[in-house]
Amino acid sequence: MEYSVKNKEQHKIIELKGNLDIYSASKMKKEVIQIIDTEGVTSLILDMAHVSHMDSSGIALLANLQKKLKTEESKFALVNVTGDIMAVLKLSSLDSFFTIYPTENDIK
Amino acid sequence: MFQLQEKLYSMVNDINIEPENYTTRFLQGYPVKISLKNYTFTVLEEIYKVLEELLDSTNQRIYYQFLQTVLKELVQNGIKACKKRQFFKDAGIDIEQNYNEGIEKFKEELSDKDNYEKNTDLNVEVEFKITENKEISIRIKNTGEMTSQEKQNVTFMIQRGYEKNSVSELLNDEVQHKEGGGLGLSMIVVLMKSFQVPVSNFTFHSKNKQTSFSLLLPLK
Repeated sequence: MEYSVKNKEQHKIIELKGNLDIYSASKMKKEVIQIIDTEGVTSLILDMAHVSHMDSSGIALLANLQKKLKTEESKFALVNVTGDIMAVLKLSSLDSFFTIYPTENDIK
Repeated sequence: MFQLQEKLYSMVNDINIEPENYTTRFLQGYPVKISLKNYTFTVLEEIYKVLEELLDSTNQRIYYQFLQTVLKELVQNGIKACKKRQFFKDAGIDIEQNYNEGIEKFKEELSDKDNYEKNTDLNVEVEFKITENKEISIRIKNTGEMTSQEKQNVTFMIQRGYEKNSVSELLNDEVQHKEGGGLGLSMIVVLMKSFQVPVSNFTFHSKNKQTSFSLLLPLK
């Protein structure tokens, strides 16, 4: 999985590209946590526009990131969640478990 | 020459579906079998196409999203089981006696997908069937018998699914620290409850060098 990082006001946005699954989740977790810890992130948003597939390992990663940021009184959200990824989140009723912005313009 | 070309195509083809007229045979009560020689999301998409046709043929589209999740998790688990056995064998680690020692090293290998998929003899099969009791039966089978540790882990994860009423409860559970920590199995059980499918309809068996996970869905 590839990613790029950008800032939007107080938010750190990580744009993911590829599959968020059993093969990529562990490495992504280490890299994202490193970004959180070294750059003092107060609001992290994962841009899911180019995530092709996500399995339970990907879901667990999102939950772990949300938990870590919450304990640090920081925010976590997803943006541009579409297609199959949104379908999986809705099926699991996780569309209310995570904060999800429809587009980048909706980010508060 | 034509026969050789056909054989070569078959060898490099990642997926094999039997029988050819699978929808008709499925409705007649015969099993539809899909065997995998490789695992990619393209292969998974092919399985989803077959699933969609079979569900549409029985007006059970309601299960489609749920079964996509089930298939993704169980097929990946079957593939991982084959890979794991190959890894332990190549590393010279006894999978029954030294499971914990080897599993940590195997998890590191997982992140290098291309490398650890080399030279693995995959044998994973997905089967769809309508039972005599008018249920849809889905079974995912792989070669390799579970170790006692693996059986314990699987039983524990399924039990967690029995105890929780939502996926968010699973995620809030302190036990769920690690990615790939069996969330998929627990999720399947929780989602079954949301479809009013008895949780006892999800079972697994492992003996005679083979492991299978089975799910029965009542026709709605």
